[in-house]
Amino acid sequence: MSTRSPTPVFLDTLRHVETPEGIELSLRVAGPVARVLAWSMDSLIRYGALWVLLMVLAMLGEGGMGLWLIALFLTEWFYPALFEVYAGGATPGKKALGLKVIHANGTPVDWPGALIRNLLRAVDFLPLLYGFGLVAMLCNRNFQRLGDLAAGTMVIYRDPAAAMPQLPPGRALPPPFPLNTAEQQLLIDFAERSTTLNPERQAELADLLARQTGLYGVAGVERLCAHARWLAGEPT
Amino acid sequence: MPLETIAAELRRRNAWEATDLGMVMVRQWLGSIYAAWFTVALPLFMLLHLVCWGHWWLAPWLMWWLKPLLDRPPLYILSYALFGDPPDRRQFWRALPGLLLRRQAFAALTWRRLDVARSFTLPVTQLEGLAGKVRRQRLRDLSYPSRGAAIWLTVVGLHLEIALDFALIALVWMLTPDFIALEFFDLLDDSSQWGQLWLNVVGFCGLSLVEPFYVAAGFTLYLNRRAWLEAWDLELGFRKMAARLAPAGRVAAGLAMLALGLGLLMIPLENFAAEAPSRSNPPPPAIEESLMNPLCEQRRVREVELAQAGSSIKQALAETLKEPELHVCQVQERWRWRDDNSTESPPRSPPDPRPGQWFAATIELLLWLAVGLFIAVAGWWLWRRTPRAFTRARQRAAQSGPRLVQGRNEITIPPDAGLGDTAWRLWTEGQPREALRLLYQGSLAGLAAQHGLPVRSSATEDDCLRLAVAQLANPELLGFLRRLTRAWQAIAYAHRIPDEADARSLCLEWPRHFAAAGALPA
Repeated sequence: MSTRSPTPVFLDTLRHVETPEGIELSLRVAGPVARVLAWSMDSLIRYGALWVLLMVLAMLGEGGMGLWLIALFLTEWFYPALFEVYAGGATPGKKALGLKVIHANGTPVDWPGALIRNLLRAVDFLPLLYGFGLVAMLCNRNFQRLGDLAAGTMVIYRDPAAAMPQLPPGRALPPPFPLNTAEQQLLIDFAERSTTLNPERQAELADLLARQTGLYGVAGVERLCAHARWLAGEPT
Repeated sequence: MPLETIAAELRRRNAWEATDLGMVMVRQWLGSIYAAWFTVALPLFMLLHLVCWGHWWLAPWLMWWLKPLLDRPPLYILSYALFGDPPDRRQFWRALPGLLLRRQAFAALTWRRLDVARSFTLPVTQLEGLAGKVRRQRLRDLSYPSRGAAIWLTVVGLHLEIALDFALIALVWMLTPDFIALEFFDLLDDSSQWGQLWLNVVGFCGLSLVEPFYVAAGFTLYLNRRAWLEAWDLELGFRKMAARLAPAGRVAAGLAMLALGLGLLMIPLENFAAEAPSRSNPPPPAIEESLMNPLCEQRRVREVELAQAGSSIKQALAETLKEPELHVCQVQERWRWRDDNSTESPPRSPPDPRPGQWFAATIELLLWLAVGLFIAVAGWWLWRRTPRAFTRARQRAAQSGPRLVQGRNEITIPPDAGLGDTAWRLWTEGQPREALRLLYQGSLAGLAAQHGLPVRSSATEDDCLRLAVAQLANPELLGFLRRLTRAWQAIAYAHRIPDEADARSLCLEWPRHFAAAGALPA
């Protein structure tokens, strides 16, 4: 209660990875809530499938039970690893929640990584019901559980496919001031999202740049949208 | 609420990502959030046990019922800390009564207690201070789609809390030593008062672990929803943009254009590398690094070209490029830590090879010495351990002949012809045991010395007899040995004294068999 942090903090859930080509990737690491839900969904799928299998194999008597036990063993240990390696880093549950597993350096997860992180579930499960795994996840900057730490993997949110910006129609004007990439993106974002904001809020935002555009209110909004259209490549 | 001071990135996140931000926030301000939590929760926990004395099963249920109030202090800390103004102790204590008793505390504990999206609606009540119709309208505006995520958050939080309770119990059970006979299910037993108290403490720990995270995650869900609806990210971005563009107006814009121009000029450097620098322009000796670094070389060529170009703007550019701030070529030939910003170069004198060689030679010598020592030790060890060593020792002992005898004592009296008389004297003196020992030992010594019988120190009397039977062909001697051995065994092990007549005959016969050798070693 008494700690006034001397340096301003800036919290985020991104992990930045630089590729050998010098490109910086921002990966959105995924925390406990989404992962617990994904795990629950996977468990439902897994045990549902095993239950159906049990119904079928039970008709074969003892041999069928043996087969079922083998299936139980295989799904218990290899279901997540198999999907993580061959289905783009995501089990069905993870896919539903928009998650996927990658190496901490941003590369796709491979067999050793997937096997280690999934075999070590046994450790994360200790002392019971993923107690250690949860605490490790909450303590770790990248929400890695112990298996993730051992395998050098982490779980991130998949990026949705980028779509072309849908801007409200109108004329396009080049901006009178130079803009860096982030600012250009910001203007396009504004134009794109202006339809979801109420007019007062639109004007409020546009007024922040009134000194630069020289326009207030609705006119300012329209001007910023025109700049955005120009930046998005529409002809003047 | 000054948005510029917010201490978190206001990206547009999906709902799960928003909850993750809550986790990060708790981690950031862990100390103050947990201080606020325990300030209220711990006294309440104890108070409930006092109030429910004798009915401690009631305490956790009341604790659960009062959760909406417990959520408020952490949220208070979070909301201020997020905007760069973490409250100090005095502010917190002043705000506490209002947090716990007002702000629709009654409603929160009664008809809103079972609200499954509690964490999400709490900020609207506590931070925006809305009530009644306005609050309902506000919630309706905010709800979709974050309310669904908030409900899931409650479900997950509930399950995690229960899971952590079990994990804690299992941990205690695992760490209990074996000599305390404790079954896992003993730890779940709430039939006794103490069992109930133990379970309550476990439940309180689980609650304390999860609840602040739950509150923070709900808060960030709410923040994220507002950031979407009110375009907070756009507002922040526009403010920054305006601040950047504002101060010098056109001048700044001009400078930016210049920077852009410089940037564009830097791009063709790659092409210049392909053209190969023209030899007609000797490098200015001042730029030393250029000899080492191809990038610097390109840059130097570019500068020279610019300086020799006709147009004045290019010459101006060349001047600008010579400014120290733009002198980006730098060759570093030592490793340094990433955080180390010191730029002074280390002493660059070429290293003297001799110390290295000396060092290497010393190490090599030491290694060879170690190898020699190892071989010596290994050889000594082998020599010590092989059976050969034993056999040699045995041979040495065997060569000394008479020293190798049966019994505890070595022969103290030389086995000469008078041994029989000596033995008889001992017998008559009332020492039959000593007499027979003397006879027997003398016989063994005689066998070893005269007949070359390899009697081992480990051999029993019967072994000796068998050896004699195998090696000697004298039936008379063998008969004597048999009688002597039986007599000796009888007195030595059974304490049966032989007849005097037998003893007498043995003593008398002994010299006949062994004393023939005056060659017996003395």
